Amino acid sequence: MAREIPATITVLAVLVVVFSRYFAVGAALDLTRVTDRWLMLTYAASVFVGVINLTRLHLDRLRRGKDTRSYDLVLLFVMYGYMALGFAQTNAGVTFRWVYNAVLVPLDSTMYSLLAFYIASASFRAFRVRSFEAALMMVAAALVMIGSVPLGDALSPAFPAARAWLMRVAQTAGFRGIQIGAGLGGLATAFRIFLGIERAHLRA
Amino acid sequence: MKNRWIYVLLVLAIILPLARPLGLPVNPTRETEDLFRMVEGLPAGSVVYLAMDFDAGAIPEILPQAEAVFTHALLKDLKVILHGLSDQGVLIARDSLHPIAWSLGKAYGTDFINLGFKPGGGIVLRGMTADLWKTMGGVDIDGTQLAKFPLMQRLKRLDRSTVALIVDFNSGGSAMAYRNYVSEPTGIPLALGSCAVNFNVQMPFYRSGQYKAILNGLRGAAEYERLLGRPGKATSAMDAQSTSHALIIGLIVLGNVAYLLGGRRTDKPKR
Amino acid sequence: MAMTRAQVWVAAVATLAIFSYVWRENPAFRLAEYVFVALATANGVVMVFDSYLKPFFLVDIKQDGQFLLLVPFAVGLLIYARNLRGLGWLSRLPMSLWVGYGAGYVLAWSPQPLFIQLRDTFVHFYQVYPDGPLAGRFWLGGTVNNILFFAGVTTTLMYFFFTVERRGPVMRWSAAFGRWTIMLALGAAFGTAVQGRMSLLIGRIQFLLGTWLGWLK
Repeated sequence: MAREIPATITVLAVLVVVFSRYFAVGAALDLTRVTDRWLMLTYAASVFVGVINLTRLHLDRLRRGKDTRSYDLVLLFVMYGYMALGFAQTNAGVTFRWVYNAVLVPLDSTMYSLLAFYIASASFRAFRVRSFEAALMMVAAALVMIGSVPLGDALSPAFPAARAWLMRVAQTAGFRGIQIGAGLGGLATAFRIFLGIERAHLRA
Repeated sequence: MKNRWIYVLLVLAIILPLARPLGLPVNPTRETEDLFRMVEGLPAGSVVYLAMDFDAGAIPEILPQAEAVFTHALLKDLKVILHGLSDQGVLIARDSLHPIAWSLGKAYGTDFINLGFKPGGGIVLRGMTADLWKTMGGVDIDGTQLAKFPLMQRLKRLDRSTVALIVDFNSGGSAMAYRNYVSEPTGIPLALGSCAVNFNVQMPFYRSGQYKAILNGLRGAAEYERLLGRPGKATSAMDAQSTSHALIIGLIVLGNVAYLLGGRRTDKPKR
Repeated sequence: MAMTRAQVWVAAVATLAIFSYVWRENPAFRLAEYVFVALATANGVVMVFDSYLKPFFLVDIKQDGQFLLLVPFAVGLLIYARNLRGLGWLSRLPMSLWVGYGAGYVLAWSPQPLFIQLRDTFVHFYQVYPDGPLAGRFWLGGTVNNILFFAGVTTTLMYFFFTVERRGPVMRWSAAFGRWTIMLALGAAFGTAVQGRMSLLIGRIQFLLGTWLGWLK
């Protein structure tokens, strides 16, 4: 029961979408136009999953008296406080937007920009020409880097031209090969889910 | 060499050209020109759909692209729909793009509209090709009924007859959703505003014509600003981009010279 | 976006707190990290509530009386059963629906765009100039590029082809050519990764020096 019903739902869900796409009757019945809406509602209903998981994790850490207690408290306080503010004001509220622009935006952008420092360090330490393949990779990287900035244009028209060739021919060929492989892999996985061979989600 | 020295060099390589710009010109590439030409060629009144599928982390790269294309569309008297599969992109649009429209004398609901964010990814997009209003829950980003906006009266669904061009400003996988669920089935031309990290992955689809154009990160934004004749944030960052890339190439060369001279021993990182 | 002076100061402190990690892991960074996770999660909830749940209850249910829609909504709510002892299996119902529907979408909508990629690989090698003074004449550059492109895609696929042993010069050289193509692609990807990360760092430094300190014009 606990396995059979979910497994049946999975197969039916696949069939509904595939039937509507490939069979005229399915399209005429407008199956997915109705079921798409249902799916969106199930997603919307699950919106609190992240909040509940974070709450459980950090309450658990508070209870166990870990040394991150003050941070756990801050996280819970900020999360519920900001959510309450949003419910009270809507996302268009003055204070809600104030916090969004003053705190969330800079934290998010700066977090990603940190990687620039580690890329710089790795360039010095890890990018070694140990083989012909590594040399190819380094030359491609250097040409793309110099060819995609105005300095490259100013030094020689050969740099942007070499970059353009690399981007449009060589690297596009490589990524197309990789993506065709990945696309076929995705189709195979979807088919395995349909056939019930792939059932990791039923163990959740 | 200690890591901290590398970090100091990197910060200097960025600060110096920001303080004393070199003013090197940015030459547009074909991938950017294609988008500019498409927007330029649309008749006034056509609807352009700008998907704000990025979060705050990608603001420095993608927002300048969106600002340039949005400005261009409004200057050409096109109508713009803003929408997002990311919960943050539409908020960023409201704070950064809406003021641009007002400064150009454009009216909300008539010249542009922000439909907000809906959960569900590709399913939302499929729904929009069938019934835009229902999929949006009948409201815009602020919860106002769509029936109140003149622009929405002729936009009941996403198809070739209602939308002339989609530009997906994305920092993740949404481009695939627009390609598979909207552009391929409806034939609406699709272009991308991509962050540089994803640019490579998208190029095979540009070659096959599935994407009509791609803006390449901040550089793409600078190129668009140049084509538009309105240099902005992206253009002013290009000199720092040049020097930081030169530094990275220098570090790779230096690291390899040290490796060859030092008997091919690997350098251990120090803080 | 226009920020007030107080917002700029708060944003500057937040930016510096994250940057402090470059020096070493420290309480300021950790605090910023926790606040970031909290705000991002809360923001997502508020956005879904405002843009979907509120109009759903106010318009679809209250105004239009579409009570049948409460069924899929209730199925979505079952995901929370994973937190209840003994009823955890109920959360598999929405999960299986999502996985099945997602797989259906892949089978329904991804083959066509994927096979356009294949079709676009098998193109005429012989190319003529599309425009300009030489329009219609044989174009060596375009022809060579098309041959290299075709060879690059097919040998990349062959490199990942593990069911045939790589014996004989044809198999070995094609796998080698595939490997070189992949190396060029990964090198180019490193180049654009540098480009992207530098753009983000420049953006933050522009904010600190320009918007916050007012040192840039």
